[in-house]
Amino acid sequence: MSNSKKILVGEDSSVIINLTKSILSFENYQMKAAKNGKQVLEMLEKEEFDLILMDLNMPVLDGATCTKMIREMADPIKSKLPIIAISGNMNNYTMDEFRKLGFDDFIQKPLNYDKLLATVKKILG
Amino acid sequence: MKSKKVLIVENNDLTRALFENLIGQLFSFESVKNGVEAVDRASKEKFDLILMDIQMPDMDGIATAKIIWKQSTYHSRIIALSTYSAESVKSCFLEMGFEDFIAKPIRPKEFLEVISAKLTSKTGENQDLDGNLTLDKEVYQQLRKYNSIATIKSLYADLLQEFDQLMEQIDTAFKAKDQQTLIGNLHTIKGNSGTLGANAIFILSTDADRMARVQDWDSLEKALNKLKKERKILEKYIIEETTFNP
Repeated sequence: MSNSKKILVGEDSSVIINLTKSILSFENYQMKAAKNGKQVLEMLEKEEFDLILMDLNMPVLDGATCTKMIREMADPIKSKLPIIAISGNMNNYTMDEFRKLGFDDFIQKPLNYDKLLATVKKILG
Repeated sequence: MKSKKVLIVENNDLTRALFENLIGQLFSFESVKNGVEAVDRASKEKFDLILMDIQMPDMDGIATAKIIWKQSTYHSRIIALSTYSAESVKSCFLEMGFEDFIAKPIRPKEFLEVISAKLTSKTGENQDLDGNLTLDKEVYQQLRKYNSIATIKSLYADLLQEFDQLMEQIDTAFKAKDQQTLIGNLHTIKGNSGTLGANAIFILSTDADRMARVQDWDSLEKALNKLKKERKILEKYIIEETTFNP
């Protein structure tokens, strides 16, 4: 069972947060949400997570910049956390560009629930 | 839209994996490494769409497509993928009978949009009912897999509530001709509605997003009004759907 794995979701839409939460809880993952990149960084300071799902398009601090800041952190555990981009891909990035931005994987919005779970499982085992 | 099945024909392992990852997010798929395997698979099953790499060793994509067309009684819809991307190349492929042409390297969003458009604009047989446009039955079933009715109700309540908040900002931004806010908010509506299967809103907000990008204010105003109407239809529909299917 994967009941101890903790996932942080950076996403400004409460629709997506609640949906993601209900889907992840189906597999007993614990989930916490942050509404923007700044909150993601604050929560990373206080708590440990196994994975981050990151929306690109967020107010205050966007997902790409936030990911870049995480990758530059001094703490090696935090800087190497798996980060999956969830995005409608407004900027039309290629997979290569997502990798260069520091993301491990990318899930296209509209979200496919099976795909979401499968991607999370693939990384967390 | 998992009922749609795509055949991926691509000899490069990395590129094939990328296509599988993208296509698999929205549709069912099968993939093969060369023309011979493609001909074999296409002779045994009717795919809704075939993605065909053109530059392949031994038998190239054009030869493969011609055999597939020749051996079946219907015209398989095949999209050509190639690194030759001159404008003249596209019309050349269309003339040969290909459904469309996508230049490589692909851009994921465009790639999926082209493929989705091909698979949703099907002609003839079993046209979707209006109900399915308001709320996608397949998405709803998928939601049911993971959620109780009460949770689903609250998810759609969230959707409507957030829609209203975003729309309020959109109206203000429209008056101020604030393009960035318009695009950003329409983009969020697009993601939310698409994820929850509110297809009509998804399609309208996709259109509106495009209009905001090219600053076509008249069309955008009409699209925003349609969006508001569609939101009311969806609300009614959800009440019925969650009441009659306890």
